[in-house]
Amino acid sequence: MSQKKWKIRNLHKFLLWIFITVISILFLLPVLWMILSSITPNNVVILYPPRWIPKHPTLINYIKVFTTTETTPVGRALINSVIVTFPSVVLTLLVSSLAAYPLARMKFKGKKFLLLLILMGLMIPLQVSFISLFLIFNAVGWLNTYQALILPAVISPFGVFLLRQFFISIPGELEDIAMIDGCSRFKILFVIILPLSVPALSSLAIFAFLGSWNSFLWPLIVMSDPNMMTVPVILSYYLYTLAGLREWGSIMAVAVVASIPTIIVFMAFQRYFVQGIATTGIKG
Amino acid sequence: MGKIIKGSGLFKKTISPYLYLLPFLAFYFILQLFPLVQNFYVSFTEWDMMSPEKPFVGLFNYKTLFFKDYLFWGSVWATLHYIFLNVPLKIVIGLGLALLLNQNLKGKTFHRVAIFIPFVLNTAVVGLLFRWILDPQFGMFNYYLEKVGLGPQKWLIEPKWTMEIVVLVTIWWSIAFNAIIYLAGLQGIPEELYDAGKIDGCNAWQRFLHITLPGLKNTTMFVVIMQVIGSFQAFGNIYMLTGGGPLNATRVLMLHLYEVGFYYFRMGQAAAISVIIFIIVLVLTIIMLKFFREETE
Repeated sequence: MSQKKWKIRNLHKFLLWIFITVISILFLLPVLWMILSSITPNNVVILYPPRWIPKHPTLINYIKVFTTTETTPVGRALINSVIVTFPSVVLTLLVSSLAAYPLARMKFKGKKFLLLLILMGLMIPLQVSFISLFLIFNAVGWLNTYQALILPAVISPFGVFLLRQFFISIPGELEDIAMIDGCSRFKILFVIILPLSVPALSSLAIFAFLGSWNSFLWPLIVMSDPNMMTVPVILSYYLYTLAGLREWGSIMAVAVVASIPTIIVFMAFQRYFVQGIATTGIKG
Repeated sequence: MGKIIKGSGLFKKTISPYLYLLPFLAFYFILQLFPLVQNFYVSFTEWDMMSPEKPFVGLFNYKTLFFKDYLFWGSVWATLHYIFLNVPLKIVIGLGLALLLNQNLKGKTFHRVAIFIPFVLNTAVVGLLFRWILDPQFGMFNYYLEKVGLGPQKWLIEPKWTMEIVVLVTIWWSIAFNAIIYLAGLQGIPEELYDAGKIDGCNAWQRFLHITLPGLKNTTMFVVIMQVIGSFQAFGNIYMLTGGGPLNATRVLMLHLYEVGFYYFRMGQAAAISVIIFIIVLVLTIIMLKFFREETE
């Protein structure tokens, strides 16, 4: 009897395993097709019936999109993305840490109000202020500049909350000892609190990275000069120049280039990634 | 001398919290809160990029949207269509995946990574990739449909089913987010409750209904609110997949806003659309918060 029950249980688990494994593979197939298309020549990739594995895999699509002279090469867009993403991440970490510290550790007037105000920022979609944000950047002549993408990316109410929660969980005794030794608050934050907060800082760094690298609508609005476009924007730019000619292999090569950094970061920091979502539940 | 030092220390103590907060608040006020308010003002003006005059026109932009711009009502409908498909599906599927991932099956890391990879892709990549897969002439999808006798279909060319496709693609791209949140929610339900349920003779379905679901109430509230707010912001996935077409079937409010503002540069009217989106999101969020609070009481 119990053996029979055990068998049913195992069969049940096995069926569930089959189910989730099939789903996982289905999730990966489009990504695989993107990669395989990118190593198939443009005139072969549209042949009927389609072939998953190209007979003669080639890097010609990559060479083409990196060396093209008809339009902005993807290398230029990659450089733009890197120039925008790194300061965005560093500034987000710095500005959020500084803001989170007094909210976690100090008593002062208006703290509750400020917390509420920042919480509000989580609920308001940033997009609804894009029109007037655009007008502001236009007025100061900062359209088609890197700072137009970096500065708005620094605002992260999510980051402030994430770090504040983490700072609160760090025991206060360490600080008391440091304070008696004459350490300033500022030094305590950088020498004691931040080194202990590496997990939270890593989560925030990953989300800031993804948010900035994958940002699409705002860069699309601000960067009209093809030489200033980031990778996602150049993809939309190519769509209307290359895809019209059915150059799907080349387009997929650009898509792969756009995706590689985020996939690498995800694979390397998978643990922080999942933790970051699970503890605060907000997408960068 | 001692007095001065003491005095400056007090000064430092009262002012220093604000100094730490200053950089964040400066960015927050100048680049988020101020534009939000200014947007209201712009929506009451005729703000043409070319002319230096920005005359105050009252509710003119709103009247134009409501009574003259048939594309506006179409985009309201498209946004609702998107939300009503997207939110429930993503909650049910997200919970389903979380339950599966929570089973401690073999290869759990592989499953998790596989479901997660689409989530880190760019919206532009996602839209383009499926534009390619669903291409009516050369796409992989039609090839397999034809093999099982269902194709070829004119995906993304005929309005029928296009929104459903957009939503399915969106689910593929972003379901990992809900799955991980639900997974965390599931792991937060105390094991003892399930043991007690077993002792009381509840079967798996009863345990799910009476222990798991109530235990996930807060998680669900959070997911629903984030999902609704997020759905109003949907842009890149739709812009790259369909461009709002065919025949405006997938032209959601954000796409309409983008076109009015950055294609025709009618800033006043575009600002009016943002104000409308903002108000809808605000009202919906308040209603949802109230609803869930009453539920838990």
